[in-house]
Amino acid sequence: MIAMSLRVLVQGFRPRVTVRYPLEPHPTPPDFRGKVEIDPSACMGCGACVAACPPNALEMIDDLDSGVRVIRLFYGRCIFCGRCEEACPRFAVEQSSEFELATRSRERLVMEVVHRLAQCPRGHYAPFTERQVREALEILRLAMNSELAESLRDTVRTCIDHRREEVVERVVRALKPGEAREALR
Amino acid sequence: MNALLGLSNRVRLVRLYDRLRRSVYVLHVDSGSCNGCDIEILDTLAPHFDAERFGVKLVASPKHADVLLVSGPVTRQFARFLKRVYEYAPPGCVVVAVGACACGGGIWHDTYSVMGGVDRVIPVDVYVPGCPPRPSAIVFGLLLALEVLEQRIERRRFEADAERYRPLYASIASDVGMGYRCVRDLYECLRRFLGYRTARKVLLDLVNAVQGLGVDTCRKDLSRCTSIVVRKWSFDDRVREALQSCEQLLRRCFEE
Repeated sequence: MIAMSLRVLVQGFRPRVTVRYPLEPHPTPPDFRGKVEIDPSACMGCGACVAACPPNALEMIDDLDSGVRVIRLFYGRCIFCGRCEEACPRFAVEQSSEFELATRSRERLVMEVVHRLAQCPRGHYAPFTERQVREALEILRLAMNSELAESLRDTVRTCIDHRREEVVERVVRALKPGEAREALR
Repeated sequence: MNALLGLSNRVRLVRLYDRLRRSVYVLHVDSGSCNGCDIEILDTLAPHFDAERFGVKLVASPKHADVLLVSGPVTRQFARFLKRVYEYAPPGCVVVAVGACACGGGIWHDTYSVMGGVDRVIPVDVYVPGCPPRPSAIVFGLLLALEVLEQRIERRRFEADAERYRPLYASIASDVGMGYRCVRDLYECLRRFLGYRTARKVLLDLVNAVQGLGVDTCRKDLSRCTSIVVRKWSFDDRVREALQSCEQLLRRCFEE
């Protein structure tokens, strides 16, 4: 009886085990893989994260008629693996330490970044964004020289189908009439 | 009232579950999960997180349950049983979907043998994303279900215009006065040793160090520049090793 009371008494002086979580914030360990955040000022809409995402929590929705690309992240399906963070060439995706994602409606678990698509010189929208064109031109300028990059300004914007057509046209123009007929046969 | 009980402002004491006038009975339903979420639910009920301090009590029968904690993507085989569990539970019982699988199907969302989420079978009241959600996230979800806490997350939509945009390597390269290829190769070299996450931090630290010292100083005395970074990362030996291995590359960067 006495021994038991003593044990209870000692138990009372031990430090508490239970965390006071909802009353106090619960600290996360360093490099905790929490809520994925896309920085909309740094994202260029290339879709590398979409290709990397194992559960397809990230989606890329192109609307070639209105010229809009939506990168949509659905947290409900996200497994917080960090592949998007690794794949992002722009360092725009980052995992914060936020974990209080519980919600009553599915709609709240969505984050969207809306990009404008680039316009092909022939008038329609190409399946890449305005920002990607900028990034490409900048890389060309740094990797080559500015005049060469400037001369490629239209080529960078051209969509793949038309670029292919252009190459064929250029080849045909370079050949003599008879040879072209032979080559196209 | 909150100050009286020593509660911070994070908690709103509405306690709509007071209307029950007893503990909240929770039934844990495993609908084909990998047991990751189940172990976290156990953790939530164990002394460290102790959900019982909110009156949450685990029961074994859906007929007693006020809250259903459902984990798993709901396999086809289990769908009809989940529906039956929901029918057996008293009307007005709250369904909490725990984990990525239960919320939206998770990694199995398009697999042939699963329904892909609890809400395809029974209505869900609270979604707790995470793979698995940490116990504190489940506590948060439970308290949300009991209408003690408020939800934090909002639907967000950003317009990304082309005008306010600065290409990345361009900005790094021009800040430090290095070539574009050099910065890219340096990042790749660091990534091979440190993984992408640390490599990005180290790269930015390196850039800051170069900016602080000036490019000319770094070109003459490379070790002074790297030692700043190494000192900052002294708890991680890999950084020193990585910077030693990338030294050739760094030297070439400064020469360009």
